[in-house]
Amino acid sequence: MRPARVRTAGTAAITLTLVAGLLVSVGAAVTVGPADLSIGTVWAVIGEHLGLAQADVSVLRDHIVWDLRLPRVLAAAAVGAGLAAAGAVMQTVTRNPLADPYLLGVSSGAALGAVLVIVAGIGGGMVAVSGGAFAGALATFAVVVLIAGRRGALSPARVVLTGVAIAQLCAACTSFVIIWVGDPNATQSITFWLSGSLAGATWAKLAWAIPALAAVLLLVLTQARTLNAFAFGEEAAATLGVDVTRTRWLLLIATALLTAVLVAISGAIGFVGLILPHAARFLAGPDHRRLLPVVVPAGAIFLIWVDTAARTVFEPRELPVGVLTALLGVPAFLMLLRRREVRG
Amino acid sequence: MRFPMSWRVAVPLSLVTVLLAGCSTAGDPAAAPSASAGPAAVTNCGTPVTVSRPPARVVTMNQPATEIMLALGLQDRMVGTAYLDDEILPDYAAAYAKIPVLAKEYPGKEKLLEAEPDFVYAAFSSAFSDEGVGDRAEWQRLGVGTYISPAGCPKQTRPAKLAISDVFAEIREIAAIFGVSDRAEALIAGQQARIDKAAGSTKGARVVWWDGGSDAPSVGACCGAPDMVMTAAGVTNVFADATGSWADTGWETVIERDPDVIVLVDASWDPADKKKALLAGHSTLKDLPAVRQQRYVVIPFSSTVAGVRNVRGIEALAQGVAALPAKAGS
Repeated sequence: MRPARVRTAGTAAITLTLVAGLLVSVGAAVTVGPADLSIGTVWAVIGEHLGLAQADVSVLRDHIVWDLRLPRVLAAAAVGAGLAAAGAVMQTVTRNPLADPYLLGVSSGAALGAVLVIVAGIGGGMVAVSGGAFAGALATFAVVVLIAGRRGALSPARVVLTGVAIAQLCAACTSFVIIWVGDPNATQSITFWLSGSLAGATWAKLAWAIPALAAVLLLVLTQARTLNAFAFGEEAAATLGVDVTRTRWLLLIATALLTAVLVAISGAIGFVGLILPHAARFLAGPDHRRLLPVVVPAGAIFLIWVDTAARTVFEPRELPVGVLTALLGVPAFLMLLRRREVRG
Repeated sequence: MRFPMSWRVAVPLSLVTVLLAGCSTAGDPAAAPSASAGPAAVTNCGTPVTVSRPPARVVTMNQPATEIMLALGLQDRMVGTAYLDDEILPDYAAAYAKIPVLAKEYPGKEKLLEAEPDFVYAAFSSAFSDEGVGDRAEWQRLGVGTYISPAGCPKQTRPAKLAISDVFAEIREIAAIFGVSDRAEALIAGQQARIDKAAGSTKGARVVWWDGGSDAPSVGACCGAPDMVMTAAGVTNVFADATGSWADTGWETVIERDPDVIVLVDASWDPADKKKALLAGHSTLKDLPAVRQQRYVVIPFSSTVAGVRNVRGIEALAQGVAALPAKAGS
């Protein structure tokens, strides 16, 4: 085992590298897309919107960069960062390595809400779908919390089991609605949504996501020490002076709310919230003060590039990003797992 | 009321029904096929389909199959229909009204057996899946002939690139099975004349076929019914390089390809008016020349599924494009 000081320095270096990597990724990903725009054009457009320079670019090209690509890349970063952080917190709070941000039924509730909106055809397009998803996520999460927390104390096993059960119930209702309606086109748009996609990212949606992400990240970072105490178990945490029940409630509710916002924007994107926290623990160790600064930029970078692949590799087709996260992420994770075993 | 019944129980029972059906139809002169027709054999979705005499108790599933039968004047052979997406064409409404509708969507196996069919004709292979009435082979084994529109066959046996000639070939095969080939030739000649009249006035316009989807638009790709309609109407499909019948793409790609005309597919679940509103209100698309100049052609979804309605879709597209003013510079 290496001395602690060296280890801290190593993690700080990793965090700095990752944050730099995140900035580079945003800058590079906006220059990639089906439309043939030069790097100079893309940056001229962004410079003009930021009031830095005058760009001589056609209106449509300006829109492509500023209204289609940039919100989408930023949404990928926000969703990736949020899901990775929420996953890490959920895993610790429930002391379950298989926990993910969708544990409290958030994604299945969102899916049911979205499906109901698509089928009922309420409102105008995808804005309404996001609204339905958010409402569904909140409703499901509220039911889980009411059932799991009936006796005040929130035991991890009870939370996990209630979440899984309610998620199954929502999934059954979703399948029922899809089959009952039996409309191939509705089914197609539902499938696309359920697979998770960032194609609907807009500035308006980001205006919800970024503050929610910032608030929850801030909260989680201030609770990093408490999270460490949780990792040793409830009694150990109580011995260290943590109000176990109150903190657990706070963290669960905060991460679930964040997940509800994210899932309303992108649908349920798998893999990121479940596997990335484990990968980050390989790099940064189990201490949350080091783990969180690593897992957040790592999640953002990962989703930015997977989404860039989803919108460009199969051009002119576009894939839902949720299809690719596991396809690209699992081999990378298995390699990491192998390297770690070899090192012992 | 439908009771759950396993296929294993249903098969022996159905044999009895089919045998009974054979007895009852043999003595019924009204249902007897025309004397001139003999046996027929076709290969459909890679499966041989043979009839020793023209079927007399037919059930059709999906709109295109029902309408092809009615267009061939075969309503007296039909004992049931199922699964329309749209109103039946006015020309066939009177004939259609006399045929029992077995189910709003696919009937259950038992419901289909109850109609005692000797031939089942569907437009999509989903009709013969677990979601529909079950495997074709089971029905063939019971002596019930089956046919699926070539355009709706499973991928391996579907035409690699659908053309209007495939739809005409289907009409000819169905007519051969029922011994009414002369009616098929008259129907096809009439449709071909309408297509020839409509096409040619479209000046090679570059068209994007927007079927649905607002975040990731689903567009007509290289090889399905949308491309068939565009090709027959003499316009250029800007997504002819995408594989499949429809493909999910991104708005950035649509903008990059700068189409002259946007086809808005009008469906009950995704009406053309909603599509127009989305384009007009979209931060980026509102500035696309085809959107700014409202260069739209609206085509009903039911004209875009392989069948007798395609000619209406081809006419609507060709006439719609021809009626648009010349595209102003972008």
